[in-house]
Amino acid sequence: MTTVTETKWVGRSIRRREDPRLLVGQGTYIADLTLPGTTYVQLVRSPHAHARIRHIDISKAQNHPGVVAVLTGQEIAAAMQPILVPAMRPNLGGDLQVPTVYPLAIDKVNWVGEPIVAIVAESKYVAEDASQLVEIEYEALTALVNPEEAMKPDAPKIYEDWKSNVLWHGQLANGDVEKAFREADYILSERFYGHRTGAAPMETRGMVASYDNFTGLTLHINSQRPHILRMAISKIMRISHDKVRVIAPKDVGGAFGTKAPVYREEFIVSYLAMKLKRPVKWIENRMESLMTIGQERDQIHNLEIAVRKDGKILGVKDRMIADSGDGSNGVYMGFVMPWLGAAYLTNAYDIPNVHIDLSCVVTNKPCLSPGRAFGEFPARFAMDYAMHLVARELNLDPRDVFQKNIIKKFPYVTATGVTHDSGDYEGAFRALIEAIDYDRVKEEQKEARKNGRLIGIGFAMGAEMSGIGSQFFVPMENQPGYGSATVKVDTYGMIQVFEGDSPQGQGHETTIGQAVADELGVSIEDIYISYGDTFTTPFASGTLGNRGASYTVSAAVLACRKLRRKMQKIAAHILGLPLETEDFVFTNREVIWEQDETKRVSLLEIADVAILAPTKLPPGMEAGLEATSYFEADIASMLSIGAHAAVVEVNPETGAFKILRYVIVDDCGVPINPMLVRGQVHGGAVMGLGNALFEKYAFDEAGQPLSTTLMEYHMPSAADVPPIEMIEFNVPTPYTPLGTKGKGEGIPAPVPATLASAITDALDCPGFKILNLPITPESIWRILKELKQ
Amino acid sequence: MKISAIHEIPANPVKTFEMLTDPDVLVRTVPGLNSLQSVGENVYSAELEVGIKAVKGRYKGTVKLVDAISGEQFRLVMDGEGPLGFVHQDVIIKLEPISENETKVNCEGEATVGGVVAGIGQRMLSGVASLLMGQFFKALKKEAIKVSM
Repeated sequence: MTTVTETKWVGRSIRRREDPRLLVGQGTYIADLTLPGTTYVQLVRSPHAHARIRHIDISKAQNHPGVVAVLTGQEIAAAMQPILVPAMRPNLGGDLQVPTVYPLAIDKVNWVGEPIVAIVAESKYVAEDASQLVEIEYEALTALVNPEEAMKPDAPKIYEDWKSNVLWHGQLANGDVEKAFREADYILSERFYGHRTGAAPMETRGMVASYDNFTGLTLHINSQRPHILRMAISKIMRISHDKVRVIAPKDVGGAFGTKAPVYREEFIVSYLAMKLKRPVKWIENRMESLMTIGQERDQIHNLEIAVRKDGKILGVKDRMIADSGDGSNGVYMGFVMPWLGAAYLTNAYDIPNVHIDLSCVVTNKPCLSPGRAFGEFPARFAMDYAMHLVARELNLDPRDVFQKNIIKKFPYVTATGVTHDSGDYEGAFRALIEAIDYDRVKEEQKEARKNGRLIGIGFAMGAEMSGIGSQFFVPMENQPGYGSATVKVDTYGMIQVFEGDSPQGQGHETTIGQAVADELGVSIEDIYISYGDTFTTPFASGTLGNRGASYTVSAAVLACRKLRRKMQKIAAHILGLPLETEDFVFTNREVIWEQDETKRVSLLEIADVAILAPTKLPPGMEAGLEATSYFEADIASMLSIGAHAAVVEVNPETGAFKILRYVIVDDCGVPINPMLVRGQVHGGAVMGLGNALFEKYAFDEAGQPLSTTLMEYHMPSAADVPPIEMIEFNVPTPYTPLGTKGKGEGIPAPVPATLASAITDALDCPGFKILNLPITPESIWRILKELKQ
Repeated sequence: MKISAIHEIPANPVKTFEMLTDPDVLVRTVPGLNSLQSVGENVYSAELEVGIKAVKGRYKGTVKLVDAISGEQFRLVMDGEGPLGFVHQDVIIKLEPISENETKVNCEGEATVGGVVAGIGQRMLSGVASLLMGQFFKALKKEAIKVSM
């Protein structure tokens, strides 16, 4: 009873503390940072998808007025290790081949956009002009753009010292799959393809590096994981760790996973700053961004599902092939995403017998980089849509097929080793069916059909990761899963929180503030959050994979609880009570003894005693009021469920379709700020719609990127998005101190199966199947046309 | 990208063939072609300047004449590299007499473009190609008339 605080902040939809500065244009992004004497980098990038470099002539560029330096691959390679040192490689077992990657290409280029030469100049305009004076002779090689072709034994090899083009190959399997298939009444077997799409954050990548002998290298970069990058730079560039400081700016304009890998530009800019002893700045332009980052998904699923005639799934086989691009990015190497797609393939379903064979293949495209719904997007499309196809084939109500297979007991460990901590997936599914008014829509469908209108209903689920514990995260990415935070009460009784992650729009200043305000009985105005600087924040893996509300907030809460024990003792001492006295309430910036409310001490007085007047501390007590905590959940991983349903109307003549309703039922444990959760769900669904319907990183047969402006890479605008109805279905997790779970990561993933199943239901045409993404009016029209022939 | 064009030149096939394979004539007629230096038998190094926005810039490369049958046909293989990308073009040019002093020039081939040019100029590239081709044949016609006068 005694340690319960009054909940005043957690659970309230207060406005984001970040927004006032952002809304008036006072955000400070990386491009806003210019140090005195800054020089600017422009990169000369490969126009070929696959070519040998015969000759590089930099003389004209060097002589161009205003050019400070011209850097080639050979020079920078001599100064550091290849980027993919062991710490940059995932340890997922299986067979891995590691390419030798330096920051600039030396004698061969493997994708259009691969950096070859860096120009540094007094202004970015001069740098760009001079970059056009670099003359490079190439010998073009055949570009490999199709992973199924590239993995054939006789295919030319992109990395000549490899035994094949397969970057990673391995299996995720458990149970007796063969038995399951022998006992099945029906086996569905289809090839599903989820195209190359992902994210295109509003703010592109950018960095500013500076160097002096005293402090060493300081790299300001809009990274999702400054601590990991600091470690990488220290190791790869062989700089003592104390001489590398990475700082992520206060504001980052979105990342969606794209700012999580260790790329090449970090090393180019750092090296140049050290060489020139001048600040060096590089801001990626939109075209570079669209040809380098944000490219995810790109998986082929040769999926087989063994089912009993009542719809119970007995087993799943999948021969997955992923197009990893050149496999060159540090931490992920273009294959952790498809690997996790495989690990999460069985989604929210209880399927004991699973065999997945995954080949991640290198091609002459940019390396896959993470995108929100990390690896899951094509996997959810394949699995959930396949369940609808099973229902159609067996003449079952898809509702029953889903209900029969949904995980019902927790914790649950999938055949692929993923732990689902807690929740009520079945309840969420039922809430969805009720909210979409399934039976009524089915009636309306019949009525509409009489009038020649084709209406359909579809749904899908997504069990998304809410952070990953160390036991899973260490092998996956060589990083701890814990959340970390330091909480300090300052001399003015204000509370400073340091977090090691670095947000990119998630609203940590608001949510961490809300949690800490409750723990210490203060107002959110009393709290200020510091993040991004690796010299002052505790080590952490970064803001990604829904870690925030699961792990980082929990660490802040635990740090507060450590502090409360000390503050309580100081209060007791000031009040003349025994030091062991419990029963204190922290509220309104006061510590109050519950048994006699006249006995109260202000937070300011406690801070004053602990920091400025330690002579008043209880005898022997250490001065200061600060605590650091590292939170690790007592379970391998936490997941949270989302369930989507849509009603669509399709025009069979043109393939055009309209989303009439879109409903999402969503669980995030205890919502810290429901408004932010709604924002995440809404934004996630819009991203899912964009990825499923419009966005496509397209290449021609020579590996030339065809979507290098936002005109070709069409992201949804307000006019493209239907109203999205959201229903909270929150089940607190017992594995975090507040019952909170992270939310946002996986929301796009159920969108394609939801729409595909709704369209299929609307057309209700024998043989009609959507097997490839994106779903466009043209693709629907083509499927219908082929069926007619 | 496919290249396909038919033009008529007011000269007989032999004359047309000579003009189409004469570096001096080409420098005068190909839009933006600044120089064409012979570097071997039927191989030339070329410098081209394009002034159209998305593909603007100087391009350096080689031009090869292959499988030439005088007065009938030849294959033109061009490779160009520029600041914004590269162009590879392989075109078969066939000459057919229409009348005593008129030849139908039939161009069929493929062009590959790469780099920024491919990404941004994609939508307008075939337009740019036919525009440049049109300019070239217009200039060539004038050349033919000049020669015949």
